[in-house]
Order: sequence, then C-alpha cells, then structure tokens
Amino acid sequence: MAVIGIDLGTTNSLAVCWKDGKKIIIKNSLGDIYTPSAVSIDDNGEIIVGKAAAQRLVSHPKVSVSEFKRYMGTDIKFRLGENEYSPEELSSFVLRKIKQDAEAFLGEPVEEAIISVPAYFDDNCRNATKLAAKLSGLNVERLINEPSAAALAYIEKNRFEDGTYMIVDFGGGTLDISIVDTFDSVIEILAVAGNNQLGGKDFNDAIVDYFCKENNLDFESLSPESRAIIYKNAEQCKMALTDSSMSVMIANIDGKQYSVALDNNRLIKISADIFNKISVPIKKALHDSRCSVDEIDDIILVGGSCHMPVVKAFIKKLMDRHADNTINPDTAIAVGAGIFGGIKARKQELKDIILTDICPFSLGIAVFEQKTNEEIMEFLIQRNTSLPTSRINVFNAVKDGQDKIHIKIYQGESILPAKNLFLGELEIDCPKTKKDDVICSVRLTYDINGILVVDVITNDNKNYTKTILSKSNQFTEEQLNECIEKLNALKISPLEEEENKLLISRAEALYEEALPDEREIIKEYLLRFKKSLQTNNNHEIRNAYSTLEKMIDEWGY
Amino acid sequence: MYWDILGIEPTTDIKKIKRAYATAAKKNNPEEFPEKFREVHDAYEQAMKFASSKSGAFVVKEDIVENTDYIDVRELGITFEDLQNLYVYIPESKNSTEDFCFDEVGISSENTETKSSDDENLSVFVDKKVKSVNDIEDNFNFDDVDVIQNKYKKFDSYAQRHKFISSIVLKKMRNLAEDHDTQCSCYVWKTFLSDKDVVEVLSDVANHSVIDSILKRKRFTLQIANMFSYAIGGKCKVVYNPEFDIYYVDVTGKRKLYYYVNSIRKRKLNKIGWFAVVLLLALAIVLSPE
Repeated sequence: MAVIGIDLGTTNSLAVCWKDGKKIIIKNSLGDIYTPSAVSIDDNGEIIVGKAAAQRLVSHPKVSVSEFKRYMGTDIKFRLGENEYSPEELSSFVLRKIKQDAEAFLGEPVEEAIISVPAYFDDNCRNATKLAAKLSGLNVERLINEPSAAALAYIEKNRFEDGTYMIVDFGGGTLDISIVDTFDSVIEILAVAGNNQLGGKDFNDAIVDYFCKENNLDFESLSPESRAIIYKNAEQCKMALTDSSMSVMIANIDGKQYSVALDNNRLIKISADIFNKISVPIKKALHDSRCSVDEIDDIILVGGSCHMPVVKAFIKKLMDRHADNTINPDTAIAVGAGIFGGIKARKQELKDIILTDICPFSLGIAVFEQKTNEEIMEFLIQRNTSLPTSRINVFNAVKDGQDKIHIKIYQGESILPAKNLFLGELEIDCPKTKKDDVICSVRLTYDINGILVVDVITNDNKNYTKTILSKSNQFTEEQLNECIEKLNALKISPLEEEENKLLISRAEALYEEALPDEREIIKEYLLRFKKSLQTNNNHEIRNAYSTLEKMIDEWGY
Repeated sequence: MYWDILGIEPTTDIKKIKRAYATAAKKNNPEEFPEKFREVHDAYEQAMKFASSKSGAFVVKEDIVENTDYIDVRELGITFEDLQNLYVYIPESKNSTEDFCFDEVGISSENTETKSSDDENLSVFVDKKVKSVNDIEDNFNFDDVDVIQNKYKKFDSYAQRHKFISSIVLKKMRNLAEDHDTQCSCYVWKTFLSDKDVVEVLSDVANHSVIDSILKRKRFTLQIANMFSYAIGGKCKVVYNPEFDIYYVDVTGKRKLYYYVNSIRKRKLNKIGWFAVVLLLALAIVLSPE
C-alpha cells in the first residue's frame, strides 16, 4: 500500500509517491502530470474532472467551476446545473480522480495520503481539506504546509546539507513565506508568514483594470461573456510577458476590437500595490524567525507566479541577491509532500529525517479583564511555535463564590476574541472560589496532526478533557457515510472510456492500411487491449493502452 | 533541567546545541514518541535562548537626557496623527511614460554608473537611476523598494546598529530636504517621519547638531514643521517668519531669531518714544510761560 503526497492546488493538482528510494511523479490518465482543479457537469449529469472540465470553463461557464480552494472551510456553495456543491465536495472529486490515477499508475491500492495546504490555512480550512479527503475515500491523517513541503523538496535535492533557507511560495491564490533551518537532517520551520488573498490572480485583475481604463470601458457594465474574454486574455498577456519583453492584449467586444500594449515595466507600475503586499510577509517572516538576512543561505521560489520575471526581479531587488533556480517551482510542493509521505511511512532511507512544522496562528482562550470589564485574549500557544506543543496557564476567579467556568478557545492574533476564529468551548462546574483565587489551570495541546486538546484541572483536582473539533470535523459517522453515498451515487464521467474508444478506432484504421505481417502485430496488441478492458484492472488497461498507443504513434501514417 | 535532556554541559556554542538536539530528536522521533520529542524540542528552545542572550547581541537603550528648555507638542494634547491629518498634501505623480522604457534606463545607467561608488551605506535607499545593464532583471523599475538586506543586518551591539542607521537616516533626510520637490511635500515627510528607525535617530540628542545643519535655512509649512517637532521629541522650536509667511525648524536653539529680535526692538522703540513724548510734555508744562 502506497502513501502519496498530493498538492491540491488552486488551479492545478498533482501527486507524487515515494517508492523504492526515489520520488515518482504520478501521471494521470491523459499522461499529464497536472490535473486541473476544475469540475464540470456534462449534459447527462455526469461529473467531469480535470483537463476536460478546465476546457469547459470557457465553453460551459454555468456548469463548470474552478478555484474553489479559495473558499475551503466557508459556507459558500457553488451551483452546477441543478445541484449545489460545497468546496469540500468539489475538492473531493479532484482527490478521487487523483486517487484513481495514482492507483492505475502505481498498480497498487492507495489509501493514505499527505495533502499540502497553504501555511495560512486556519483550522477550519484544514479540517475542510481533511473532510474532502474523507469524502473521496482517502485516509489523510497529516497535512503539510506548502512552503514546508517545498523546503523538503529543495533540501532532499541538496542531500540534506545544513543551512537556512527562505521559501517564497507565490501561487495562483496565496502567498506564503517560510524560513527553514536544517542541521544534521533535522529540518525545522522557524517562521511562517503569508497572505491568503494574494496571488497571480491579482496581476490579472490589475491588467484587466488597466485595459479597461485605457480603452474607456466599464468592466461592471459588460456582459459576463465579454468579461470572461477580457479576463482570459489578460491572463494570456501576463503569461506572454514571462518569455517576451512586450505583449499586446487584444479583445473583441461587441464587434469592436480593443487593444493595449504592455511591457514588464508598465506591469510593475500598474501592480505596484501587489509588490508592496509581497514585501510585508517577507519582512514579517524575517522578524518572526529572528534571523538576519545574512544568515539566509538561499531563497527558493515556488508556485506558478514565481515564473513571472517581474516577481523574480522584485524578490532579487528586495533581498539584494539571486534566488535559487534549481528546483521546478511547479512540482516542488507535490514532491515535498511525496517525500513527507515517505517519512511518515518510516521508509528506511528517510528514517533519520525529522521535519518539525509549526502552527501559523496563536491559540488562546478568552478571559475577563477586570480593569476594563471586557473579554480579552490570553494566548497560550504563540504563533510559530513548533509542533507538537503543549502549554499550561493558571487562571483566577473573577467573582466571589464563582462556581462555573466557561472556557472559549480561539485561534488568531487579535486581542479581541470576537475578531479571532472561534474553535470551541467548554463549560464546567467547580467548587466555590473567592475572587482572585486560583480557580483552574488550562492546558492546550496541539499535536503533530493538528488536533487540539484542552485539559482543564479545577482546584479540587478534577480533570476535564475535550478534543476541539471544528465545524467540518463535527460530522458524525452517519452523516459522513450519507454524504459519501450521495457522492458515490453521482456518476463520474469515464473519460478513459472515450479515450479508449478513440484509440481502438485509430488502431482499426491502421489495421486496414497495414501490410499483412504488420497486421498480425496490430491485431495482437489490439486484442490484448480489448481483453484488458474487460478485466477492469486499471493497471493492466494502462499498460495495454500505452503499448498500443506507442505502436500507433510509431507506425501511424 | 534542559541541559540534561539534551545531554550536554551548559554552553553558548550554537553548533554544539544543535548537534545535541539533532541526536536527541532522532532518538525520539516525533512520529513515534510525540511526548518525548516535545520535551526535547522545548529544551532545545530554552538552550538556544540561553545561548543567544549570553552572546549579548543587543544592549538596552540609554535614556536620552531631558532638556527642559523646549516645549513638547505632545503636552498640548496633539497627536502625530492629528498633525498628519490636518493638511495632508499628496503630490501629483509625474506621468511621463518614457521614463520607464528599457532603452531609456539603459542609456541613463551609463551616465550615472560612476555615482554608485559614492557610499556603501547609500545602497539602502537605492538611487533610482543607478542600474546595471548586464542583468535584465535589474532593468525593472522598483522605485520605492528599499533593500531589506541592511535593515535586518546583525550588529554586535546596539550602539553600532544605531550609528549605522543614523548615518543612513541623516543622509536620506539631507537628500529630502535639499530636493526642492520633496522639501515641501507633506506626504514625503509623513512617510519618512513615521518610520520607527527614523524617529529613534531623530530623538537622539547626539544627532541634533547634524539635524540642525540639515534644517538650517530650510523653509517648511507649519504642518511639516510640526511633524518634525513631534518626531524630534518636542525638543525643537517651530519659528514663524511673518515676513515670508514661512516656518523654520530650530533644533539646538542656538540661533538668534530674526522675528523675535525684530519685535523686541520695535517694542523698545515704542517705549522710548512714549517716554520722550511724556518728557517733552512735562518739559513743556514746566517750561510753559508763567
């Protein structure tokens, strides 16, 4: 049984497995390493996931959806045709597809996975990701922070050399910075900072704004189709600037042609705001890690937006040095997650490697402040504390004769509890206590799997323990099964079937044209492929498919 | 005791601590013994804290000697924000697109490259014209980006860091004050003076003579002058010249003030004048023909 690492991205997802002492990037049924994180519903009500769904985003925008990762852990629902789906359910479709592809590719069942999440995902988002995995039939005990995964990929590539590195993970929708220290193959994340509402998408928005401004167009008053065209062309324009110094964006709207020329310096000017936002978490991470810039040995750029020359140049300017370019920014996170899967499975060659992650947010409880008569936060676990951790604090009674304690646990950085994320509460009875006397001690334990446990010991030595479960984690077993059954009832479009039919028809056409002795070989392969289809064994199908395809490609006229 | 958990004698050698931690961590893998690993990690953190505090990276800041001659604007109940919000003037950005062409940058770089060797410290506030042609990435225009390299540099002592920062801040201040565009821009001064490091440098008495030389004979609007007064810690006077409707900032208080001198002389003359009139009247009465 294999453990795979999955990079469940905003726009693309991919999976990596650590097998036989090396990392293997899993290819999907189409032979690509990336599976677009897009879901669409076809006319028969069947669900399409991946490349085909991504293509339908433009042709059938009403029944296709992408970028739902941005809304993980929220109550937002996406309408696809007749039904509504939560981001968790949509993610589970993508995960299910990856699971099937991995099983077909590796030829063995896959039940356990490590999924990477942005470091700035809070507990709600993390548990939503775990729920999505559960719905797709994967057992996910552990999540890994994306920058930590990227660091792992880089460090593995450099054979676990000692050093301190800064990882800039700038993806389609999030920016995460982390500072990592390795010593004797013990990898420690020193600090994490980020902005989960900043990504390559913001550059697209800036270009769209600029385009509309230059052409005197009112973006809001345009039809949805024209907006989609402008948006798509803006993205293409941005991508074109990666390789060339100048790019022209053209869009046909209502029969008229509008255009605007853009070069990298102009792009910098119109997106100055984005660059300002990028430098904020970098400074914060440096500050939190108590590391000086001189101590950073290398800067590692990962994520799609780091392909942009302006982003590279900005980081170079900001840090006054070149960033490393030896690892692939697109696959680094998945590779790291895959390696971590190997560590978790206690593979022999990774036995001595230890990765300690940190919690990116502070955890604390609400206390009553007598000076101002209001509730304020008392943090027990500060942000960037490495996991697993456990902290204890003692609390006093507020009133004479207090016999009840109400403990509310929050995650966040604000001094006001209302501004933080509420995780759970606990109400307990205790013996009557005088004002300002010790009433209880509270211990928060945050374990390596991100599970939070509260221990309260009252002054009569009674112990109360509660595991805090967030909203999406509070699904009962029945609800979960119900949900899984509901999703199982949905037909997932057998994309391979269409492909298989296409391949068979190609082989038959070749057979008609081929010479007699060639015909024998074609017949042999074709029949083998047809036979494998009947067995329903994905691994066999894949093997027969690839050999037949290879042959057709070689002999094709 | 955390040294026992790590299995070493108390030390400030960070490498030694790290090595001990790595060995202990591998023995207590977090996958198998999370409880034990937590103890090891806590011990490691404590040890690192000990090591970094013993090497004495920073010294506690000395109190600045109080000088009571000056009025602190803060005593009047005016906050820095109030001053900023009074008349914030944001200069219109110059919209010359040609400035940002690749070619233009390339040409100007040749002309100005010699300037760059001026002073190393200046690199914190990079001269926007200095570009190297060799590297294409350098051709991009990030005007407002300060390289954080030096800001986060580690210094052996607080004093050394303070000295370094002072030199940069004062240089930047001189540039701003001498450039006619920035000198009267409230927006520029507001952003400059709201920097924590800048305030720290300005409120240091040792720097006041330099600051005075920078601000000497410079004219400011009342709001900018007040912002200075606030940033320098209320230890300077804002002087009004009614003749030109302009404000000066006086930091050391050594200068003779034109306006005061003038008014006092006027008032003295008046007194003498009145005295003369009274005297003449008296004389006239006394000497009047009887």
